[in-house]
Amino acid sequence: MKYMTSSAGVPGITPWQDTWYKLSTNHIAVAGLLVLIILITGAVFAPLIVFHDPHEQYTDILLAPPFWHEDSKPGFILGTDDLGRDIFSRLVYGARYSLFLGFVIVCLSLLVGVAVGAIAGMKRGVIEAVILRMMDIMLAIPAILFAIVIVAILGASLFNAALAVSIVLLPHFVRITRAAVITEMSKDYVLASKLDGSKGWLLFFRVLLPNISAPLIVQSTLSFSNAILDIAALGFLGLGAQPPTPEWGALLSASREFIETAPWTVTLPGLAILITVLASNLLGDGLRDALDPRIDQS
Amino acid sequence: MSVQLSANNYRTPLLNVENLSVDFEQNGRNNSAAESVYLNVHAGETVAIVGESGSGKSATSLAIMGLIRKPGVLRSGKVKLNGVDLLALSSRQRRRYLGKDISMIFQEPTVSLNPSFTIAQQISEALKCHGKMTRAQRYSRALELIREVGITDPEKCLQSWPHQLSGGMNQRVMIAMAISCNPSLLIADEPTTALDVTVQAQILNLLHRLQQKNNMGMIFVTHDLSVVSSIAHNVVVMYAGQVVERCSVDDLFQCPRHPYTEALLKSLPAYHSNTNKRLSSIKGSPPGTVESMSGCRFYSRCNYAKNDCRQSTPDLLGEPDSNSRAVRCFRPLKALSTSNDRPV
Amino acid sequence: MSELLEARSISKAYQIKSGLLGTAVTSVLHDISFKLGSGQILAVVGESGSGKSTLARQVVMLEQPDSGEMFLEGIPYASCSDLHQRIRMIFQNPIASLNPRKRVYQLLEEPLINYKNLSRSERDDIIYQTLEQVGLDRDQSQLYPHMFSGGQRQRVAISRALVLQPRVIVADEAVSALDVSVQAQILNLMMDLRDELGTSWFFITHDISVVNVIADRVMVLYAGRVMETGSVKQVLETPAHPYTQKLLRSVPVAGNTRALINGDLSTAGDVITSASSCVYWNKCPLADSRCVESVPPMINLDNRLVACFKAG
Repeated sequence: MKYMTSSAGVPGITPWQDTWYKLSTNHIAVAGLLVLIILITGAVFAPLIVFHDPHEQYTDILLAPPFWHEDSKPGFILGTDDLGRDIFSRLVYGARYSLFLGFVIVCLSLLVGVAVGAIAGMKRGVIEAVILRMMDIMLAIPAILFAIVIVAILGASLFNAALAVSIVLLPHFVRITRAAVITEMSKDYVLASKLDGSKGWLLFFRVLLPNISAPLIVQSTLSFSNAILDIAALGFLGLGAQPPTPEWGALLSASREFIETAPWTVTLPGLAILITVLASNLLGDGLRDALDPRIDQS
Repeated sequence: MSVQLSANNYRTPLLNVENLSVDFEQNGRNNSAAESVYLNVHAGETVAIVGESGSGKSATSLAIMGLIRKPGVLRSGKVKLNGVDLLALSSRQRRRYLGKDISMIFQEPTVSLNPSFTIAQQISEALKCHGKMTRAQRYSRALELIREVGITDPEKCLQSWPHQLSGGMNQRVMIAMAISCNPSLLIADEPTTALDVTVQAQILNLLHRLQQKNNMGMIFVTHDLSVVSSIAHNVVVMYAGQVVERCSVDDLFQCPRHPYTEALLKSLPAYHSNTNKRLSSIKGSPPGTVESMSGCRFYSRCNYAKNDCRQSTPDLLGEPDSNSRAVRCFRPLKALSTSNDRPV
Repeated sequence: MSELLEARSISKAYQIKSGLLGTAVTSVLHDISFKLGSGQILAVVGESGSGKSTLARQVVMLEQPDSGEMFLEGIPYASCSDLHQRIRMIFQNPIASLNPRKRVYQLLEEPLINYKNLSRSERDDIIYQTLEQVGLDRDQSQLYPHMFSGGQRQRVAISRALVLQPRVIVADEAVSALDVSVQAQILNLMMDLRDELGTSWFFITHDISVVNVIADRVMVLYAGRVMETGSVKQVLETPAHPYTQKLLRSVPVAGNTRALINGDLSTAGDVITSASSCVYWNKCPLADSRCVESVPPMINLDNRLVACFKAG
């Protein structure tokens, strides 16, 4: 309502504090954030949490069921896989791959995407048209197919898969950055900064970037979950992590033949992927609400 | 129905607002936007609600229309139109009155009109309150209305889309839609603020003419005292959510009683006939939130403030009838403090 | 006398897309000349579409005019290297023109870092001194723009313009978005700065009552052309151009109760710009065939310029 939108936040708090306040009142987003923090902590302190080496094969206990099952083996709370490796340990170590890869992929994509998008948004003209058409072509190919093509060219490895996924995610960052830059460039405060002598990359980093960070942060969280999914998909197809790396997608792929005899071997890595992706999506949605002044709750 | 009732005894007000309070919630806190507003509007009368941003003038007008939405909350109040309390009705019952007996025009005509329909379609939509009309009847009535608001080429206008018309033309269309059901009360929320002066003069003129013709009551919300002087009969001055003074328009400019009203008048550039002279301004700025304020809300900016102004809150004294004066001050002013600075 | 700022017949046209493929050229400014003396306030008055904001963009050299030339202290703009330091601008809406993610100190620091080679303590001195000049506290330099009230925000915007000690400040509707009581404070501040620092103001507004208080000279624009220009006293007390007369009649006057309602009710038609007639002829009560057939020249009438055949 008109008389309520006059000030963006409450006097006395900085823009970031305002965002944090709004985010903290969104319980679902906070839950997502908590889950992510737990997952990250687990991944970082993996050796302290698990009882078994993820690669150690207990050949006498193959395909042991999880703890709720009456045949479960003590010490293997989530059971073992076909080679007798502890599934819990593999999942926790797998989180290292998935989360770290997700993070690296998003950073890479963000860095390149923002730079390219900023050039398109600030230079306009022919450069912009060329960049945009390239991004359109990339978006026209289904993401996973595109990633497969890139991996096929580069060769199957975890590093190449990560590179492929970050290329696939690139167009979103480019487009968002370009759109945000164009919107912000038309605002008075950018005009004022130009008159204050800021131009080029200085103008972008000092003036524009803090103001377009909101959509970029949201896109990063959502891309993080996409990256995990895509990496898992590539792993499942055998194009990403190679055995015996305990990457979640590879785990899924390796145990899919036991889906009927030992369903937990497939379900548990799937659940791990689901929970991580859901948590980061919920956080992303919450951040979108908290950062977007148009959906201002106050 | 509305026409018959408004033609009643002149003394019975058309609209009677009692003890209207609106809060809005921000980050878990309650802020008062308008507090205990009393207001009467008679048929054929224009009451201006004047105030700076944050004074609660818009909150008041929206509350009268029953348009307070979250985070705004209606705390208390009665809005009686011809004796019917609109706020006690269910939203479905209230909808029968909105648009028909009360209608509203807003500051930004271009935003208020739907960009994907032509003017003709939008006016036809507004005409549905008249019950069954054939397509041709609606069109001819739309033409009539468009002509009534002073648009020279009505056929062309009806076929236009809102973006093809200027701000002034769009505001005329809004007015045509607002008066299409012959409302007994029109609420105009800053209707000329976004318009050029020459267009503003035309719109004020038009509103006045329509009001005379239909004997319509009008609430005119504005921040601009000079607009008030050209259109209003009675004035309600609001400050930080409270009514601080209520008087006739002549009294307002000739002998304001509240220090805020006086200071506001003196800070008008037009008030100073000499060029290049310092304006007398009000120190400080209006309070953002009033929840923790005790005493008079104008205390910190008032030139006449004494100790008791900080300790206790003055009441709005005077008859609760809108034709008599009322002022919220312990020591109302007698006359303008400097007589040589008369308005030009 | 050498003028501080001078414009000689500036014109500016924009290409706009019309239809699917075609482009049309609209002339926004046409043959505009003015002079602004040191320590003077020149008010530019016009309604929306009169080109006053476009003119501001030419004056601060955000854009180059298509033809005509601008001079600062007699030197053409093209050869003024420090133009952006000596001509500064403040905008209508302070909340939009102040970067929401920057503290006041950072906002004021930006031009100093970009244009001047100063040490941190020298910058501190200038920034705190400038804040004091506009009536803000040193402590407030660490706050963000949204923590200020509307009037204070415009003070921040003014201090940002002042921090380079400019000769001219272009104010584009700088007080229009403010409440009346606060508007008076800001107008006073502008006059104080003119008197104390000798700052000249190029003051763009649609509000004629403000012009009367603040300005020394006034220029009335209509459809990108100068209709009338002269001293405030001359133009506001005895307007010579029919458009100026209409404009002044339209201004509601506080205290003059219910005066306006008797004004004329003619509807506004579109502006017809043609290279060979007066732009105001279709709305002018005095127009005759001569106004349609030829463009009226600037007539000098006791030191004021009027673009009308009927003046004088």
